[in-house]
Amino acid sequence: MESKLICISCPRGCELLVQTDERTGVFISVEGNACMRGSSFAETEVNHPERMMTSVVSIRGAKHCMLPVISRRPLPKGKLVEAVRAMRSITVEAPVKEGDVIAEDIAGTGIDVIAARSL
Amino acid sequence: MKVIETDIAVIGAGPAGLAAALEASRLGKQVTLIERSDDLGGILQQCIHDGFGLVRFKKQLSGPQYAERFIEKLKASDVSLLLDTTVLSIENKVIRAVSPREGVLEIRPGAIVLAMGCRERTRSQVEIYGTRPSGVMTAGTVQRYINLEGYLPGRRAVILGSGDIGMIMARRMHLEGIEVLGVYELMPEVGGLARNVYQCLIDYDIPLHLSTTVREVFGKERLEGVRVVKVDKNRRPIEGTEEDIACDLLVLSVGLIPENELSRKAGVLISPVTQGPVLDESMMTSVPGIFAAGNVSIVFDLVDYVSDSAEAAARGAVRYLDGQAPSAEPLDVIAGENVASLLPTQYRVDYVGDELSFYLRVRKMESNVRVTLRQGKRVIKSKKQLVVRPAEMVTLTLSREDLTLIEPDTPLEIHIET
Repeated sequence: MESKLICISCPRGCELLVQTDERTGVFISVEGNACMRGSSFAETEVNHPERMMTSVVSIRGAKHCMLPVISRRPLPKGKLVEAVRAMRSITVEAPVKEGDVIAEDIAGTGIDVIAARSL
Repeated sequence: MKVIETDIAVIGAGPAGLAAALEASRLGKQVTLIERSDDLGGILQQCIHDGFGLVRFKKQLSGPQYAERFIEKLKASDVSLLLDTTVLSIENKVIRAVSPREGVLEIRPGAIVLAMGCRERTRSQVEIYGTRPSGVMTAGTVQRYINLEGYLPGRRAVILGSGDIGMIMARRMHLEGIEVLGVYELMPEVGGLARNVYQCLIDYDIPLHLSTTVREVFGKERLEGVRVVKVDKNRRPIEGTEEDIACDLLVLSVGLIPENELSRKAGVLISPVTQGPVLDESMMTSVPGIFAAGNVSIVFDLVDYVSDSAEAAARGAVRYLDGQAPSAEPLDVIAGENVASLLPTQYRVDYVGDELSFYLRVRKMESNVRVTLRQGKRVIKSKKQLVVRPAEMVTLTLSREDLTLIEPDTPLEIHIET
């Protein structure tokens, strides 16, 4: 089966034409990518799509009341909403350094969420 | 009144100001960085999404992570920092500023780098009729409420304009539980990058309505709804296509313009092409010794280019202080075929930098083109480009060798050639 995707690996946004197995839906091949990142994106997007999670958590004792956070690696796309919701109940105490682990194993993905800045 | 003497004063500590201050300091100059807020990093601190830094760091960082890389270096440098300090005026290269701690300050630099960034266009700059209720705000304001201050500014949102910030806030609002009813775009094409349509709208089934605009808002105290209408190819409303949508938040993502208030006070000429100051190849304005960096000079698409342009401006300022500033009559650089906006718009042939980047935006999408810098009939530099789109900046970088081909007589032109 043929489907169209847009690569999100860089701002260029290549339009990808992807061939997948009729029966299993598994990735076979891709056209339209300008670089290697495009082909690995297409394969991942078809077989097990994933996205980075960015959100904020509450922080006490800093000049701001919210601390930006980011997942260390991309999460399975289906876990994203649950992960962002989980951030709402977290409050940390200042000082925090960029890269500090804010939440471990978010939404059962085994992936940690880290501080995106020092505050 | 306290008087500060310094080599280079940089105004604004966003991505442009940070990069300019670091570069000037690295080149041995005494730098004073002046910032209105109590925080470094500017707008990056509220841009918590990822996708920054691919060009400079080969990584997709979030806004605060990108800023942190510069802030760490700044802390290790000998740049002096004036936080909470608002510049009021620049006159004869003397800066008047005010801060709660110091009162009125006078800063006397040898050169100035303007790095105040850009502003969002507001409701008063687009044609929307009706009442003036609360709940109508720019995408950047919504971003500030949610990401910095921890408030949700509404429950049911309509977005006008399909710029990148509008689409990114559509996703952000959706993930925080605000119902996003749709993104409406006056033009027949999406304003922002294709990847943001994919990862911000399609991922969450947020509808995108092209050739459709918000005509009117309703509500006395608080926004109660908006009237959308389809438009024809001349952007005129098509009668009978009106639809009323109940919502309590209208998010405007209707474009950015360089912040020119201080630049005007300083007496620099504003370019009708970029809407920012007229700049030469060294990023110097029409006032000798005053330079511009980042989105104050032209609205960039990538923060990486903002940082690059700021370093170029810093090097220009350093050369100016060292008496190496070019003094030839500037040649105009003309925006040619399918070039909507261009930086720089002037070039001096006695420029001594190692290389020079031109940044341009196109009017319309075209495929398989050449980006060409010409002087009369002669081609100075030309490169192939698979596709050009209005949402993406095109760059053309000239080496020292390329620059020697430029002669002192004829204006330069940049064209997108099919």
